Amino acid sequence: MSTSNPFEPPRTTDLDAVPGGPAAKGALALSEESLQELSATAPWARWLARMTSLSIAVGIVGLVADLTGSESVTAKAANVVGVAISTVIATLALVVLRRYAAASEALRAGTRSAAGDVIDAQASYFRLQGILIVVGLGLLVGLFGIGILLGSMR
Amino acid sequence: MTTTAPDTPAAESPKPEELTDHQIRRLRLASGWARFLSVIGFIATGLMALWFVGMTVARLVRGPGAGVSPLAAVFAPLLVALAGVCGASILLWSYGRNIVSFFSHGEPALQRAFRSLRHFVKLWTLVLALMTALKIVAVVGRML
Repeated sequence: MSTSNPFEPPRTTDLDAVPGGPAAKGALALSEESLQELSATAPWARWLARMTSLSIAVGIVGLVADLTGSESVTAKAANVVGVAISTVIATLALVVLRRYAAASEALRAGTRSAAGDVIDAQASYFRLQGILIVVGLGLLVGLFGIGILLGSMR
Repeated sequence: MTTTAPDTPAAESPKPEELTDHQIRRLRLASGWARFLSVIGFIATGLMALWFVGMTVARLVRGPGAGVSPLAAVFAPLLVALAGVCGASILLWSYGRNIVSFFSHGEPALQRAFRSLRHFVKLWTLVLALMTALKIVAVVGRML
């Protein structure tokens, strides 16, 4: 139902099926071209997983180098916390990425039923990244608020 | 549920893989989160661009030896991150919108969505490789 309210928020029904559209007709299917696009991602997904592993390893080596350096204890502690958080985040992403790479490689090898696993891994990957960002932003806002509170109490 | 043209022989073109309810739900979930990440990415791109401009101006005003971090440690990673996050946000937005379009208009929107995703994975691999290489340079520099 349309209204003349100029401040009406945007509709969130974009994801719903359009009456008479493919979803309404029950014609939602993966075309051969879509499957080819999914399977073409396989080598890159594998490389992304490898790069993520390498990045984790370099982060840990960098931390060890920092710990043996002449920085202050506070700086070293901040580095440990930073690397620990980034390692946990990267490891969580790596688990989903490896699942995605394995599923798309199976699809590339001809297992058409693996398309479902690829879609599943895509959703898991984006949801994980989204949740991590929401948590990260929440922590950032929380720390900012604590900083302001402590500053006003002095 | 799948519709095929009546005159298309099954032997020539394989039957399209029918999407289950679970897969449709997962695609919708992926689309929503991808668009959210894309918006966050655009905001991050703007903030990084401001930071980059600020640092460049500070370097120009104070001179190269005034305590500003070296190229490999700050400027190059920031430039790579800026370009990477901006490109990734555009591709994620395209992925999310094309899935929405697929639900309302059908193919070839899903094919376009998956193509955007492939380019996103490619781009992110290259960005991560560059960032890791720069991190290695910075770590080796600190150790020497």
